[in-house]
Order: sequence, then structure tokens, then C-alpha cells
Amino acid sequence: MQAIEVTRTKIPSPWQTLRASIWLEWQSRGNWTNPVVYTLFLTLRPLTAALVLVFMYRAISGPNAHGAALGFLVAGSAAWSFVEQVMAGLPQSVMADREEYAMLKYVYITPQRFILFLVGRSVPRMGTAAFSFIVTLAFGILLLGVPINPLQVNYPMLLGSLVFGLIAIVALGLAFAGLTLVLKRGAWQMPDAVVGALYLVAGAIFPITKLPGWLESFALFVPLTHWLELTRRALLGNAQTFSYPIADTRQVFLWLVITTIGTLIIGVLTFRICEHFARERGQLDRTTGS
Amino acid sequence: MCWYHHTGHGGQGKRDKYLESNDTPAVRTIDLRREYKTRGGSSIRGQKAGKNVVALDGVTLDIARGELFGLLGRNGAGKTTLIKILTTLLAPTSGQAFIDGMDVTREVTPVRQRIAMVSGGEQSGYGILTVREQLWMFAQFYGVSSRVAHQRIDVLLAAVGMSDQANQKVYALSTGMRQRMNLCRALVSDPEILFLDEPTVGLDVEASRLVRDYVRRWMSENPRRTVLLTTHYMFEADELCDRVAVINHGQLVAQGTTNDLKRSLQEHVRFQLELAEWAPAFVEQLRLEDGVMDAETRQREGRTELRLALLREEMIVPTIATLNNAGGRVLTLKRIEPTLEEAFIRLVGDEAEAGSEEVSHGE
Repeated sequence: MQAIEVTRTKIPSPWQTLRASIWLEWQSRGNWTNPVVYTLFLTLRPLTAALVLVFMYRAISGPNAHGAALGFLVAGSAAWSFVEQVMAGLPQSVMADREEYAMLKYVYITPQRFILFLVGRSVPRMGTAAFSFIVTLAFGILLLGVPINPLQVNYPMLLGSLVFGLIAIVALGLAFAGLTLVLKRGAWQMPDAVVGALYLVAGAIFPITKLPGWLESFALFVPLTHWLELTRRALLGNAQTFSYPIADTRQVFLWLVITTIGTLIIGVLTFRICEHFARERGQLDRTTGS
Repeated sequence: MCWYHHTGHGGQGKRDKYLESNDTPAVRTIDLRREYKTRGGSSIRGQKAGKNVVALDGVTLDIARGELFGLLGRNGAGKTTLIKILTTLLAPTSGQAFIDGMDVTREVTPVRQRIAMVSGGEQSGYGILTVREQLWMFAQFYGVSSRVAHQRIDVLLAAVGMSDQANQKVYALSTGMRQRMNLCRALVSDPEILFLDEPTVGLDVEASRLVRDYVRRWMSENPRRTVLLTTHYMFEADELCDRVAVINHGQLVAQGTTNDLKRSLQEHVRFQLELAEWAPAFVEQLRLEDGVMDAETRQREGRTELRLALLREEMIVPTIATLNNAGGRVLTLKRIEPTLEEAFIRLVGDEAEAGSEEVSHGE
């Protein structure tokens, strides 16, 4: 028999870890069915979510329904797919690796950076969320008359806010992935519960000025609030913007940057602390059967 | 606690030479202790919920580089807990553990560069990947280039008889095939220290033998390689291990070579003789002989089998002379070695296994 080549194991480069984890997530997400069914799945879910909101709004507003509000709803709903897929997806990946595939312990004891592995797992989710975002907006523009002119969209602002928004979303995802490591029961439900709470607070479907004062103040410290507002301003223009406590777009951007940095620090710290406790308590390879 | 001298009988010449030249053990634990806090309504090992359960209690152990070391113990004895600590999955409550001289709690990344683990009795694996994809992915996590990874994957899959399954999805593999793949997954990084936690549990005879054969072959390829194997199967430990340790209720109760372990727990030296004919006077005279502790006979397939328990090995010579004088004719003579299983049971007692439960989580 041929002997295998012997070389001292190295620390993998960040690119090796990212490439392998991105690829793993992509296979996990898309490999369960054929591409047509998967594309349909990616399209239908955000579309129906947006349509539910639009029809609810029309049913309530009747003849008073106007394009700006429609744009607010569709843009917010379209962008929310990033939160649903990336932020809620990270803890779900951790749960699946630990409980379903029983592989978390084997991945964890490799010399790669575990946090980078999780970041890599979020990248395909960003891609599918971007696809849902574009499809939902296109549907809104073409069939619902949402006032977005693709030629007048502020693309630099859209991309800039998306970069910071995604950093904040991944940081929150890491925090919840860490909590998943130490939670015993109900960890499957936690991501949905958190996404639901943020849906209410971050101004996804109605302006945060409609919230009670204390909750509005809290919303300003959530980076998703500013990211959604900047996304809307980039897509719809300032004239179409609903009420928002900060008028100046540069100030909104500054708020986004500051709150994103804060969220990143909190997210990574939370993950590290939870990881430490999970290792202390022997929870990294636990299967709860939940 | 019984400590037996390490004789290192299983190594080849180059391995022995390597062992002599390296002082830093591959694995070292010093007074290692791990407690779990129980919570909820259930109890573990009969201890009430809400109390601390001691899974490891002052474990001190050295495993030399190049050794295939076996850790034996009942369910819940602490074997898996020790492996979890050594593989950086679990923090010890107190004490220290080192891999190649590096602290498992403080030098996590260098430790992880040197180790890999395979656990038995589980259906682990990313089912949506093919066997080759899964192995490639793990090679990436260990910093192995894709070119080297694919070479190793080919060699490993061929060695465990899975070349035809390389492009098969993991979910379609049988338990035995999946375990062979998991062995390849652990070996694709060419670890220096391999932890095998009951790797043949649930496997059929053929798959178990293949795993054992390959582990032995893998060890013989490179004197740097070290294996820590936990198992319930005594014959597996007897067949594979250079040395073994027995762990019971979190404490090491014995360690040494399997032969040392078996012999040291044997009260008397036992022989089995086959006699050409039989007379009651044989046994009567033998029982009068100094150093003969017991003698019993039985008829088996028309022949007489005589079993003797002697105080010392050399007493067999006068004993046979006595037999000859009494008219007995010895056809065959063999020394009866105690089995590792007998030694194990003598060490840990014969407590019902149902009463002990593996402490694996801090629940």
C-alpha cells in the first residue's frame, strides 16, 4: 500500500476556512432539491410576505393608499430577507451541525478559527437573501407600482449601507449562535423569536416614530433601524421617506456606523463568552433531541 | 492504585528508538479532575440532582509518543470525559492536561494542529455532501492544500475499501461505511495524536476488523504517531494496545501492558494438561505436593483434562515428575493465561452496568 505523505498540519489560511465553510453552507442550502424548486422556494417566500403586507395595507387604507407607503412596505419587507436568512440562519447552522449532523465537535476541534467558519456559513445566505431582495423589489415595481426608478436609485448609498447592515446582521447572528451553544431547550425557536422582535422594533414595516417613546429611543441603538432607513432613502429618495427622527442622511449613516461597531463588539464578545461557558459546561457536543 | 511497569512490547525497532529519544510525552495529564453540576429531576450515577458529579478524579497519565494506548472502563467511568478534555472540547475543573507538551486549555490552536478524533456509535456526517467532499472540507480546516488533500483522500479511501463510494452522498452510507469515512476524516490531516473513542461500537465483524487493521497499519507507517483508544471490547485492547489503563469512577485503577495487567492479577499460575489415562490417585498425590494450590480433572471427548493451580511457575517440573511417578502420562501441557476481561472485572468489580450512566453533559 502507498504511504500517505507526512507534513505537519498548518493553521489554515482564512481563505481556506471561508471557502470551505461557504461551500458547505451552499451545499446544505441548495443541495436538498433541484435548482428550479430551490429558486421557486427562494422567490415565493419573500414575495408572499411582501404581498401579505401590501394587501393588508390596501385593505385598511382603501382609496387613501399611496405609493410612498407602498414603497416603504415593499422596500422594508424586501430588505428584511437579509435579517431572516443571515441573522436567524447562523444559530440554525450551529444547531444543525450539533444536533442533526453531529459534526460541530469535529469542526470545533480543528485548528481553524471557529468564528470565521460561522462567518463563512453566512455568506451563501447573504447571496440568497440578495436574490430575494431583488426579486421582491422587481415584483413591487412591475406589478404593484412601487415608486422606485432603477435609474435614480442611489447605488453607492445602497451598497454602503448594505455593507454596514450586513456586518451588524452577522454580528447579531454570531451573538445568537453563541447563545445557541449554551441554551438547552427551545434553541430552535430563539432565532425566530428574536427576528420577530426586531421586525417590530427596527422599522421594517412601519416608521419607528409610531413606537412608544422609550421603544423609539431603543430602536435608535439598533443598527438595523438605520440600515433599513438608508436602504429606503437610497431606493425611494428622500422625498418618499416617511417620518424618521433623524432627517440628515449623513447623520443616519453615522448612526449606522457607530451602532454597527458597537453591535460587532457586543456580538463577538457574546459569542466568545458563550463559547467559553459551553466548553466549561461540556455543551459543545450535546444533543438534546429537540 | 496498581501501577505496572511499561515494557513497550508492541513497538517495532524504529518506534522503540524514537520513543527513547523523546522525553516529552504525546499526552500527559496531571491530577486531572472534572466535575459536572447536575440539574433537573434526573440523577446521574445515583447522585441526587443539583449535586456535583465527579467524572474524572485526579487522573495522572503519560502516553509516550508512538504508543497505542488503550483506556478501558465501564460506561460512565470517565473515558469520554478524558478524551473531550484532551481534544479541547471540554475544560477541566482542575489539574492540567498537555498534548505534546502544550496545555490544552491555554494553547488550544497548537494542540488542535496535532490531534484528530473519531467517536463510535453515532451517525455523524454532513449527509448532503459526498464522501470526497466531506474529506476535502476537513482537509481545508486543517490547512492541507487541495492537491495534497485529494492525494490523501484517494490513499485513505483505498485503504479502507471505499474507493467506489468516494462520490456517494454520506446519507446513503451504511453505519460501517460511515465509520470508515469518519476514520478517513480524522486521518486526512495526518494527525500526530489520534483519539479513538469506541471506534468499533455498532460495527459488524468485518468493518471492526478493517478499522483495527488500518489503525495498526497507520501506526506502523510513522513512529511519531500516537493513538489513545477507548473501548469496551477487551479483545480489541488486547490485540491493538501497547499499554492500557483501567479507569473506574473517574480514577485510574491500573495501567501497564496487557500481559502485565493479566499476570499481576492472577493469584496462581494455571496449567492445563491432557493425560493419556486417568486414575483418582493422580489428584490425591498432586494435592499433597508443595505449591500445588488446586487440581481438578474432567473427562472431555474421551480424554482426561487436568487443571492445576500452582504457587509459582517453576513448580510445574516437580509436579509433572510426581504425576509420572504415579503412572500418569502427559500428552500436552499448556499454561493458561488469564484474559484481559478477567483482569478488568477483577479490577473494577462486577457491578451491574445498568446502574452507571455516562456523564457527558452538565445537565
